[in-house]
Amino acid sequence: MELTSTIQSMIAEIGELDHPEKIGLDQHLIEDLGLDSMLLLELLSSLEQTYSISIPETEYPNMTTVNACAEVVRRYQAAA
Amino acid sequence: MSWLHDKTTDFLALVQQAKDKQAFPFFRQFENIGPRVKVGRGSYINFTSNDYLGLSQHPSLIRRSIAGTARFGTSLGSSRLQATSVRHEALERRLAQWLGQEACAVFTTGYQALVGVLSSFLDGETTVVLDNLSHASILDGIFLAKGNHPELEVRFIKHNSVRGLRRVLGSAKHKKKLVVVEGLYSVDGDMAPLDEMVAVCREFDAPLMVDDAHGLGTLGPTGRGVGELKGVLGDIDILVGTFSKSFGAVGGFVCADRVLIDYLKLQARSFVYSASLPVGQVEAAMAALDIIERDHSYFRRLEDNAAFFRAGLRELGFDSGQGQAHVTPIMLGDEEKTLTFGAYLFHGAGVIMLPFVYPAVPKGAARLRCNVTAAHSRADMGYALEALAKIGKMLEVLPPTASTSTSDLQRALWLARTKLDGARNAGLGYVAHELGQAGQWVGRWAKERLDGAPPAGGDAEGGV
Ligand SMILES: Cc1ncc(COP(=O)(O)O)c(C=O)c1O
Repeated sequence: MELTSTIQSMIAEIGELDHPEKIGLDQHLIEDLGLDSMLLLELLSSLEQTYSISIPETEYPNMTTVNACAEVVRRYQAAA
Repeated sequence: MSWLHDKTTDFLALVQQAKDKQAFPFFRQFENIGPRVKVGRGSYINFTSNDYLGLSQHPSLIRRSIAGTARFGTSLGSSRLQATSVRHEALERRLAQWLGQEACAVFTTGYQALVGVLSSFLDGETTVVLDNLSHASILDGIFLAKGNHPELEVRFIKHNSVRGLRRVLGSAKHKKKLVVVEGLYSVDGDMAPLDEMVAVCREFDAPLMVDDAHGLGTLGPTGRGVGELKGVLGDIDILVGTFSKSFGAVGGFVCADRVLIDYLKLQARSFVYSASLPVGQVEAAMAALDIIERDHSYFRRLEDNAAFFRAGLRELGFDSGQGQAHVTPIMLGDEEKTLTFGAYLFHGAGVIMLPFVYPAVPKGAARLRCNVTAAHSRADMGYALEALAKIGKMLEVLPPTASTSTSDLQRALWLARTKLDGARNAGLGYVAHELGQAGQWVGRWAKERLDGAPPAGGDAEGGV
């Protein structure tokens, strides 16, 4: 599955949203999709587990859209 | 001037803006306490108290508290290790018995009880699972544990989600797990599905800890809280409560198996390194427990009052969200309207309800938090409903035709106290973004805290 669609499914699962495919790649996870900081942390642990990467805390503030999360995952996968 | 002073500047400027607009809702100085309070020369109906049964004013609590103070004085002079009275032990036995647990530890506040349990039991070999709407005292216990044990895994589920709980427990990093939820949530007024959660916890061999600060004494057939209501009181491994809500006093407690309590009493730093609860409060809590156990009329009245008020809100067309019990939020959505509503209620109608805006609650979920208690009279609540209707129409939250099925005469009587016209002229036109920013002390990104970034200011995640 493509990275962004996996992330969409993860967000749908964690935020309990019905249609993962409808999550816009640039929608703000908190302001547009109703997640909060705790659920973002949950998303981060899912990303780390799924892709066997470790995302440093300094990246967290930027990871507010599907595209932004995908970019970070790609970067740390490449570095691994 | 040091950096300490500099640090306060921007934050306090926002606070000042809210104060200039008479919209700062905190630190109002009460001349008395209860459902009717005096502030300055004005009299207000207060819907911000957690004294749900009204017991803080009960003659028996006051009398026994005074007797306890007379016998032991105002302080025991040390922490529980050196300053445990026979009355502390008696109260612990009573609480454990009441909740069907082996043992109990009484802490000086509920906040300390939660911080103490979490920091004592969690370590780098455990995964802890939390609801995303957890109270500040749970989060702070987690921050402390995580600071001491960076390997501790902290996982979150979407509020009350059993599906989420199953998913997270299934993918936990560590074999040892603890699930921590509240019973009745104080911001939305909804309850954890403890029956289903108990089943999932069993399946994954994860102990369940419940903070039922708002449900104990108020819910369930005999007042033993959400655990009793859902039929799983005996399946809760660690049950935490407070005396600061339905018990009408101050203090917190943890009930669990004896070995857990014995360990806690020597390990929890918030217990070992903080003063013992004064006996005046121990006696007040004991008197409250006597009433809660024997006289169910208090929580029945609370139930009746909540039902009356909720029905009134529904008839008017207000949305109480997920609220199921005596916490009856009035969902308004729009931030500016919510802050304006709160200020109109206070200045114009003499009613105190606390506005909750982002980030205390999600964007678009701004609301007035409104706690009904057993001590409110029908007249107080009826009057508040009329004031809500009048302001609701003024702010176009309600259609102009909204009304309750109450008789015209009754409504006229309730309305007689309204001072609303003054409010309209009081210059209370608030600028949404200013107030939105000023509202930020009410909550904040927990992530910043988990990351160890310095806190930006005061904090009160969720309710207080
Ligand atoms: C859910 C919850 N847990 C714990 C506490 C802390 O209790 P205490 O006031 O005894 O510190 C509160 C409120 O204060 C609360 O609302």
